[in-house]
Amino acid sequence: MRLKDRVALIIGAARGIGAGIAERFAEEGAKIIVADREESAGAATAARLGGHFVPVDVARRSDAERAVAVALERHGQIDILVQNAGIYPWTLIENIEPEEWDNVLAVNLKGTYLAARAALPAMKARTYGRMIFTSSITGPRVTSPGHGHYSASKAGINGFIKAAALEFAGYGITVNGIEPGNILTEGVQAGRSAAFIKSMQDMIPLGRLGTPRDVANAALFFASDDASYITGTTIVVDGGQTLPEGADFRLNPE
Amino acid sequence: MDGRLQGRVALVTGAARGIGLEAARALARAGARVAICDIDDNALQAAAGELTREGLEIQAMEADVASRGDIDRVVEASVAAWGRLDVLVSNAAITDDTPFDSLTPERWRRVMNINLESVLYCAQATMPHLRRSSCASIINVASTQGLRGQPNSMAYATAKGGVVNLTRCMAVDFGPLGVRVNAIAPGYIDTRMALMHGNVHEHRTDWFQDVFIKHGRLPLRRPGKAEEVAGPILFLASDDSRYVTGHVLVVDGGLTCTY
Repeated sequence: MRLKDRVALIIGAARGIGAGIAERFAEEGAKIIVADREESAGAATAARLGGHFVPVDVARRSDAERAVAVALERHGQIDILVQNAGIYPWTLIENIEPEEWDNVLAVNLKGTYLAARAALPAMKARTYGRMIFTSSITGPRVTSPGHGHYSASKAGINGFIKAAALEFAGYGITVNGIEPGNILTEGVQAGRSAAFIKSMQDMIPLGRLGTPRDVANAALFFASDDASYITGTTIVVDGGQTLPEGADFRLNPE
Repeated sequence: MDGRLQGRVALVTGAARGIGLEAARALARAGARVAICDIDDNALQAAAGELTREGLEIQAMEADVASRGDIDRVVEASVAAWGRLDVLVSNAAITDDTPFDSLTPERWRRVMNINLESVLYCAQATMPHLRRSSCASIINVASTQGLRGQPNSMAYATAKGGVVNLTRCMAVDFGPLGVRVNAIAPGYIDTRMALMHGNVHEHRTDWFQDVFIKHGRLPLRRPGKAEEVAGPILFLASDDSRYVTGHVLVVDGGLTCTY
């Protein structure tokens, strides 16, 4: 059990990647606090994992602080913070209204800073903490049309990871991130044909889309003692998708 | 022992000491049978004895990674002994801080040969076996020096930069064959590689202590330990990273997030 008795607050854990991280951490012995905007799904995930649920809109400072307060009330400490909540509306830049831009940045980027700031005092007091933020390959590495606000928010998370890693290093807190590629979640599957999913797979050297568990294993690594000398960096979990300039590698694998 | 590599066979080059030795130990503790090789046979045998006394399954062979014949021999011997190969850790390397003006063609070629070409040759020698494995993983040990410009490090940093992109190219070519390829980029790690010209230990110089520790240009304010690089190597060797390929995992205590 690599996380025995560690207390993990996972924001955006009702479903998808966040739920996968919560499940993986629970398997390794962590005590789980599931935070999410979606109350029924979040409560169900928490119940399944023997954890506790707290309803949170991470874009609100008081909510982020309440999630941390609940973790401290129940377990007296917080060892691991995962900020995974994110939204990804598809809109071309020429059509993004300022309200939509603000909303994406508020949840994805401001939410990350608010979560980090809320968890900081408790981690600082014990000179121990692991912060893990879900970024994306979309923004930091690559992008596609319709993801202007999303790309900006995720690239912003990578910059914030470095800054937080620097500022928190003296407190025994490491800060790292994960850049998932195309992960087969309910959100990604919705409204996409089997043929389109297949075309996505063909662009990936490992020949398949990722699973929430693939991402969860990277989060587990950052949370574990094996990552004690790692801070301010990210792991790309994309099956090699962002490496090639095209899918030609599929033509002659021999 | 957590059994993450139970039943698997690994080969680690440059395993007599430092990161290579700790990587071999971590992989073996996770259940793998590990072939270790090094050019320094005395140190290698001592390392093998230490690991074996711990109850780990180890096979040690003297080898110069600059020699394709040596690499072939080591790979064939480990496959002959254990019938398979699943993990390759290309770690063997030499340090070099020759200034630009004294960098001879011989020195340049020697650094490229040991630090870069050996990574290709080890992959070539192991691929026939790795592609038969359902859990194959290659881990190349690069360096943060291969990601940035570095004073007095033209040969070393160029070779390590080469390892970084060789890793990406191999990942694309080997992905469809089911073989993952990743690199580790360690920063300042307390090993014998930190010995500079004239046997000066870099981490103990006043300059290093002042700039990196006192003024915090190394955010965690300490050099890493070899075993702190072995954990990340185990992650990349195991199924925990089964959707990670072509990645360069930076293990540097935050060094490269500042300037």
